[in-house]
Amino acid sequence: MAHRHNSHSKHHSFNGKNFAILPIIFCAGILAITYFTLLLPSASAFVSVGSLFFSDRTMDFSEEFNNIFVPVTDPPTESQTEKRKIPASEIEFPKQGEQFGEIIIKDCQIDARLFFGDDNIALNNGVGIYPGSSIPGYGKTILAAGHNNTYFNGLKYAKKGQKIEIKTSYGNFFYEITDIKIKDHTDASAYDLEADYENLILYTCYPFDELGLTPQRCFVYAKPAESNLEIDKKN
Amino acid sequence: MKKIVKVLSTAALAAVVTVSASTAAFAAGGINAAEQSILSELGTSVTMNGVVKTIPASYINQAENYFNTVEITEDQASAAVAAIEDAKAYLASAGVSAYSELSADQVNTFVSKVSAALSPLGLTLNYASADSITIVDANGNVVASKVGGTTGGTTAGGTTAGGTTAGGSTATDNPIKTTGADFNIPGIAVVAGVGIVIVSAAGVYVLKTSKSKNGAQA
Repeated sequence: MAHRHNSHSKHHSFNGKNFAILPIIFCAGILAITYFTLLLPSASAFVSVGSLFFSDRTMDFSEEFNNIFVPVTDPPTESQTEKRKIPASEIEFPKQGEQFGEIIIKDCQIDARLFFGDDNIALNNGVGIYPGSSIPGYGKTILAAGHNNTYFNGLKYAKKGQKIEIKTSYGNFFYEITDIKIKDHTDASAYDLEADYENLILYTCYPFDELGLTPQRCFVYAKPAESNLEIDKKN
Repeated sequence: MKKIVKVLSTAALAAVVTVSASTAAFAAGGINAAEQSILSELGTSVTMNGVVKTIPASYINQAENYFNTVEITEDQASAAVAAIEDAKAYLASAGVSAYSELSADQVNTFVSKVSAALSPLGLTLNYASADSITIVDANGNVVASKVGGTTGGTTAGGTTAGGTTAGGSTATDNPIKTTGADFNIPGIAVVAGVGIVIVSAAGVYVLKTSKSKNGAQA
C-alpha cells in the first residue's frame, strides 16, 4: 500500500512539473537561440531559405529589373552656383520598378542603386522611391526606403549637415541632412506628400540592427542644394 | 564627289533618324493642359452624407508621375474628367459616408465608373477586391497596384473618395514600407508548434519509460 502511494506521488510529479516545465524550457531555449542567431548577419541567408518553407505569402523569385541609369558625362559639382533648368521633355521619366540613379552618402558609407518604386525587387537591390511621391528636380517630396540590414544600415551614422548625392541620367542632385527622427510606421506626420517644395526623406526600420517587424522607422530629412537642377514641368 | 555626297546624305539621314527617335522617347515629359485638367479634377473633393472626402496626395502624385511618361490629348482628358465627375456624383448620391459602407452592387457600379474614367487614358482597371487592385497600361505594364494590404493599411494623409481613384493610381496604401528583414512570424509559429509537439512526445516517452522501469522494479 505504501508502495502504491509512492508510485502515485511520482506520477503526479511528472504531470505537474516535468511534463509542463520541460516543454516550456525547451521552447524558450529554441526561441532564444533563434532570436540570437537571427541577430547575426550571416544567418540572413538561412532565414530567407526558411521563409520559403513557412511563408504564407506569394514569393516573388524575380530579381530582374530595368536599368535606365546612365551617369552624366560632365556632372555639375555641388559648389556650382548657377541655377540650371531643363525641360521635362528632355527627361526619360522612370517607370515603376526601373533603376534610374544612384544614391550616395559618404559619411554613412551608403552607395546604392536608386529605383522608382519600392517593391521587394527594388528594396532587395537598392533604395526605392515611393511611387506616390516624386523624383529629384520636380520640386516635391521624395520618399525613399531602404532595408536596415543592407543598403540603409548606414543611416545609423546620419548627422545633421551631412551631404547626400543623387545621381540620375538627367543630372546630379545634392541635399543636406536637416533632421533625424524616430517615428511609428503609421505616423502620417512623418512626411508630407502634398508639399510644393522639394524635400528628400529617407527612412529605414529602427532599431538599425534589429531584424523582424519593427514598428518604428528612422526618418532622415534633407533639403536640396540651391544649385540643384530644376525641371520645367510644363515643357 | 558622288561618294562624298552619298556618305553625307547617309550621315544626315542617320542623324535625323537618331534625333527623331530620341525625341519620340522623351517627348511625353511634362504636364500639358489636358493632363493638368485631370489632376485638377482629382484634387477636388466629394461630399458623402455630409462628410467631405478628398483623394490622398499620393494618388494624385502617382497620376502626375504617370502623365510624365505619356502624352494625353484634350479629347482623352475631357472624356476622363467627365467620367471622374460621374463617379464622384455616384459616390455623393450613394447614401453612405464612406466607401467601405457601399453595398456589393454599389461597389460594382463604382468600379465600372472608375474603369470608364481610365479607359480614355488607355488604362485598364483590374479589381478583385478593395485589397487587390491593379491598373495596367495598353502594354500590360503595371501603372499602379495594391495587393493584400501588406504595408500597414494607413492612408497617405487625408481621406479618400473611395478605395480607388480615376487618375492612374489605386487604393489606400501606406507609403511606409517594412524595411526590416523579411522575418516570417507564421514561420516562427510553425517552428514553435513543431517544437512543442516534439517535446510533448518526448515527455510522454519519458513518462512511459519511467512507468515501465517502476513496474519492473516492483
